[in-house]
Amino acid sequence: MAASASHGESVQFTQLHQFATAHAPSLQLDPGLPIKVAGMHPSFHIDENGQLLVELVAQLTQSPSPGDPRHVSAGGVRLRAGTTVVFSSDGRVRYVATRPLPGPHLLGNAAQQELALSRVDGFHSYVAALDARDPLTLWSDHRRHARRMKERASFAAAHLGRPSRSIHA
Amino acid sequence: MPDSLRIRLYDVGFGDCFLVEFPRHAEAPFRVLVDCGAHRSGYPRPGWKPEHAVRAILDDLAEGGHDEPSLDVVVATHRHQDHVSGFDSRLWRDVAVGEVWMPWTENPDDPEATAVRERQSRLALGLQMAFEDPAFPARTGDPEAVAALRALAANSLTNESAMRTLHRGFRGSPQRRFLAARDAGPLTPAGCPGLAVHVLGPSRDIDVIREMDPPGGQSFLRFLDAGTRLGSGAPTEGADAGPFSRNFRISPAEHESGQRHGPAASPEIKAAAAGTMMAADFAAAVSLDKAINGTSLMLMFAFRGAYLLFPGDAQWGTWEAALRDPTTRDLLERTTFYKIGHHGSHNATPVEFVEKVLSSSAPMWGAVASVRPVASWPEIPRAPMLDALRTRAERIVRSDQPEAGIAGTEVRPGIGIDFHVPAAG
Repeated sequence: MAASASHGESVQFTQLHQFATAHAPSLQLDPGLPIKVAGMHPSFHIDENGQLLVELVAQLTQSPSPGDPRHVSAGGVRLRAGTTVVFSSDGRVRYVATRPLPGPHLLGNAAQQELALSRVDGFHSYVAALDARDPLTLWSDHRRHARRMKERASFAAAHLGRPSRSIHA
Repeated sequence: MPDSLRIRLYDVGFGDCFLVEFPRHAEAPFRVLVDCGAHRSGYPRPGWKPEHAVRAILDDLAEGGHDEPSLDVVVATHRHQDHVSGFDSRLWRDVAVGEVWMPWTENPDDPEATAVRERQSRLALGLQMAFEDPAFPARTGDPEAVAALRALAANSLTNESAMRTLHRGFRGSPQRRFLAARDAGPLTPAGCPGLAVHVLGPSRDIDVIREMDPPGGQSFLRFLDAGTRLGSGAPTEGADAGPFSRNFRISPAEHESGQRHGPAASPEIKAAAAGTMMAADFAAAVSLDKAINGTSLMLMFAFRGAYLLFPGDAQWGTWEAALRDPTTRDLLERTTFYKIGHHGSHNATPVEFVEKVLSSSAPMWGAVASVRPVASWPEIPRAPMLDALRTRAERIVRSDQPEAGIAGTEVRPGIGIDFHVPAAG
């Protein structure tokens, strides 16, 4: 966690942040938006030769602010862009998994553009499916409507038979 | 023989009240009253009472010089106030009724029905007592939200006099029928040749019955127990059965008021705790409302090519069962007149019904929403749902926005709207 990072870790977070900023286009991150280092952890595997394989997994996120045309949100929950980077122990990038938001930085990369658009569509249809099944929607005033997604994400909701855990539609 | 049948909507605001008249050869029409109730928060105008709708119905029944008002069938789709409160009137004593149709959950001789009703009534009472507790508005701190919550819960409170009329009232000795979704084929009332009434809900399916049992409401029953104890004045049985000694306990009232949370609890924590309780109150009231809607009768009247769909306030469970069954789905496709479910709310008219079942190339004759907007519930009626229905119906009429000059309809100022739905002569 960035907030409780030791001095050594905070240096690593800073370096990772610099790396992400410098290579934003390759990581399919939007150079026009701040990047947050959301997490970094080591991962230990046994490789195909039976040897210990140490990798580092970094999570980078971007959250366009309200008012920004790239901002996508519903019911108090914001759709973020994010990239997970897996580094080998010598610091080389092994894998990049992207979850982009649409933006001019994806021009020229049709697959990423399509992925970004389908994420936005998927987000809105998920919200619509929950709205359709959730009886609370019906009796909600404007204020509750504005934070409905946030409230559905509560721990207690999991025990109340709310539709977030059983979408068949 | 006329080539149409008449449906009279009585404007009851946020509620339902319809008189359906099936023409008969050389006889007065066969008359079916579907519901008569209004939500207290959504009366059509100041000073209006449900009894005004009853008087309008009686005036209409007297039409053509009939001095003894009579109805062939009275349908009560479910026991919510906004569907039955009008039956709490002495005027019904003078009305002769042939049959009264209610959902199977109203059958006093059916143990399963009794269990469903008791669970729902106990929670309704528990909620009412919780929301009437003096500490309740203090901890929520939002008078509007408190009023909206009380109004929502009040709709589920059993209206004993109205239910008494339905179960034991009216002139004559009407036969009571308690209906469930039928595989046995439609009802064919003897007095009305050509009429077949398909009962599409509520089902007796175990999943549907489960939906009639509101989840998450157990904690509110303590108010009920507290009320019972206060009433009896008897010492509390098992008062010392708890895991902690009396010194470590606070009373429910102290807990509700938040007075004993102690100095350690910051205002933020208190606000968060109050917010959580408010969310639980809201969820319990809504789940009860949904559970009672789940008992709603869903009827399709088929008469000489006209298919009139009255789903009451049927919810997803009933609709899903109806849409899944191929025969019922075929029937739904033929709908020519649709009483929009639950005053135009989003979860009482499934998207699948509008988009996949109703035809856009051959739209139905018409659909009507009996509603009046209530500020606390801006999602009723739901505008996108009504817009979607507009592509499937030649006319969509809202009781709160009557428009003169729509072919086949007639506005009766201060009373309601008449619909002349085509039916083969």
